[in-house]
Amino acid sequence: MTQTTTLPRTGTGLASVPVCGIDVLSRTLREADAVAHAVVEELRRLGARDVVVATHVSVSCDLPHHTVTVSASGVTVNDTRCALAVVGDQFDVVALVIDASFSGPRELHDGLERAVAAHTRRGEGRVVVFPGYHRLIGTMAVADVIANSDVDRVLVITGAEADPATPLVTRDFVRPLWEDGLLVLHAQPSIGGSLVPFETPFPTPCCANHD
Amino acid sequence: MTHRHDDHAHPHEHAHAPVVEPDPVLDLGIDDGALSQLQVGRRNFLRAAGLLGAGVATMGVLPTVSAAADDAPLRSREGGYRWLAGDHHIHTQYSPDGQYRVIDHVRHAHAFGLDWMVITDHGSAQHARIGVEKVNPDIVAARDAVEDILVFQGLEWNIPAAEHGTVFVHPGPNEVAVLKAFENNYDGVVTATTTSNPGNEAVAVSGLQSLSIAVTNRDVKDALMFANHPARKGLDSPHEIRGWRDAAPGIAVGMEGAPGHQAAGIATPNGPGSGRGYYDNSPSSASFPAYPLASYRTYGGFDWMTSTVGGLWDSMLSEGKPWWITANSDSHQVWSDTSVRGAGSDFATNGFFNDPEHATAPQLGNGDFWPGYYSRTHVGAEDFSYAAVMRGLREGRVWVDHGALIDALDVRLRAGDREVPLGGVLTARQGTRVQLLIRIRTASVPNWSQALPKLAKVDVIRGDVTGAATDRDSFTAPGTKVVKTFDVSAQTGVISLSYDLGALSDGFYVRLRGSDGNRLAPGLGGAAVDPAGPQLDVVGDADPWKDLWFYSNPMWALPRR
Repeated sequence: MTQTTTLPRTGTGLASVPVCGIDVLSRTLREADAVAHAVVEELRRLGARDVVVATHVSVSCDLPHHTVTVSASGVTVNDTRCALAVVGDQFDVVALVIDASFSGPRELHDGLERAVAAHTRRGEGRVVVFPGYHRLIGTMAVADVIANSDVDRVLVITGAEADPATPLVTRDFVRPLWEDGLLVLHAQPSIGGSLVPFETPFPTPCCANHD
Repeated sequence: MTHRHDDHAHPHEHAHAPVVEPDPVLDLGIDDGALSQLQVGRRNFLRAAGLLGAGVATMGVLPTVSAAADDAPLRSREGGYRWLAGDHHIHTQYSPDGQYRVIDHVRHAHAFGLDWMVITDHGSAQHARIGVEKVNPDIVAARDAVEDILVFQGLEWNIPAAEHGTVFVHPGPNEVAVLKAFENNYDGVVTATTTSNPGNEAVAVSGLQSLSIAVTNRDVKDALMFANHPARKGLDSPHEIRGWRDAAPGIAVGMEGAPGHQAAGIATPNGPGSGRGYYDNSPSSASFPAYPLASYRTYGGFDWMTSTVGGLWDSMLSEGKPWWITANSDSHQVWSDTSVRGAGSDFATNGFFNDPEHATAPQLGNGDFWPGYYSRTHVGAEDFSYAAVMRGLREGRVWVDHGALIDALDVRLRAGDREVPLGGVLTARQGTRVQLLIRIRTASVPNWSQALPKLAKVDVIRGDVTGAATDRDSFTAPGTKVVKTFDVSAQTGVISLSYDLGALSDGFYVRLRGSDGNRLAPGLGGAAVDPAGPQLDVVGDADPWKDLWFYSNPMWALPRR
């Protein structure tokens, strides 16, 4: 994406930058997660803090797919351009929102702008990286999940609030959702009275061309 | 698309005695002008209620108590029908994730008590080119080699823009040609139309219409479609399901109430330790966004669309249109079987796996059961024939169970001297008392886990007929709830139950559900709707034999005015 690499450096160390959006037409969550982690890696290299990366669904072009949004502090707008440029070398980036400005095919505009807006207000989205996410490993009590990360609530998918003392087997893979400003981790009953996050790291694949 | 009431059962009520005349009101082959004023009024009401016309007219009852004119074993004759157990979702070595020969499945299915089965290999480029033809002689040979079991050829259709579905046809000289043309023209993978968008949704509808045309043209005698594992990935939106039903009434007739892969939840190291039914997915970009996360899991082994009282299935039934449920094995590779795929296989080139080979170790990572071993779809048929099984499925004379929970189920809806069986529409004057009559034969022999199942309770679920859905994406039926629970835990043998449904005013439907009582919890709609429904299955630890349910299809009662 040449438009992301040739722009002049203009940023001057802002506290945080507007939410960015990246659209590589990911058809699977796994691919969207790979994009998310690549962005995080570059931003961290540039000294970013408070990195939050989320995925969203876009139905632009009658082609439902996942987009990625990212916010961070401690970097300049131009740092994010550079980070996304590096990601653009790894993935076929089709559209971007940087510094509230969209570039890419018009057809992808609405989907990506919607995703950026959802991230900005934390209204919806599947959150891949968030403060404290790296501490959610192994098995820990529900109360400790909430105490050690930005996760606000743990809900069982049948509707009840999870008991704070219940052990949650994280499988080192936690993808909470933004719901009206709160970060909610949905969980389901698992072996021996424990809980596991609703989203499985390796769901059963299927022979059709769906993810 | 017109339904074919000329060669299918005329719907009608019937008196107790097995002699019944066709009901002219329901026979759309008879013009309004040929009916009495009273009959026209009744027909108009049924029309207004969405209960007459394409599809509904094929519901109802066949009056015949046919003599067994063939040599097939008589398993069960409840309610004057031969209840034939079957499975419409089975994969062979012609599927890219399959393993077994056709004959392996047919012999096991027969041994485990099935009367009919459908071979449904996945639609794919290889299958469209090779498998769909090559499997046929295997099926034809199996029909000869194993008596007393009906073996249909079908395929597992990658429904454009959606999930998978069983499509199968009546045997005949064109069975392969019709299936092959269908697959080449309308399979989502073969035609690259799997992406969820309106254009591809239209391809699915066209595919179903092509099956209707194939039957109308007598290319094949009959064809049916069922949606498989409908809630697994959130791909089948409510409007798509309604679209299939309405595009090809009498062809697209239902969905899997319970998915296969019922061994997938057995905990490691004794099993795969996955989600029951391999239901372990999350919403994706292709999913219907309004489905809750709870829809992606099973409840007592059943799909959320079916297991939720007042959920998607009920929202369709409350429209007064037929939509039936089934339960199948989805057998690809069998839990604890001691065989593996044939060595040196090259599916991509050959379109099949080499014949399976013996392995000493039981394959505990497999998640499926043999057909008939755990899941059964019981069809009330007039005789032991391919046509009768398809007719019974179309007319909804169907109940399903897991782990051979019960031997037999006979359900009637009765008003005065009229009654209908499962799938039927009972019409009566307003104010007539409607009775639900249930006869259950409890399990008389152990199931294939060598345990004797014990039925603990039977629930009656009732909902109002509210007419065609104004929101085609609706998946709730707010009025539907459990209205009666019978504790039958102390009873064995033949259990006779009756329930007074009161004086008929507005149209309603009822359906049944029964459980071994091992895993109960309030339903997703709350305890007031379903106080003791199936529990959310535990991911990684769901022993299917310890959680058995049966479900019946519905019956409707409608006022005649």
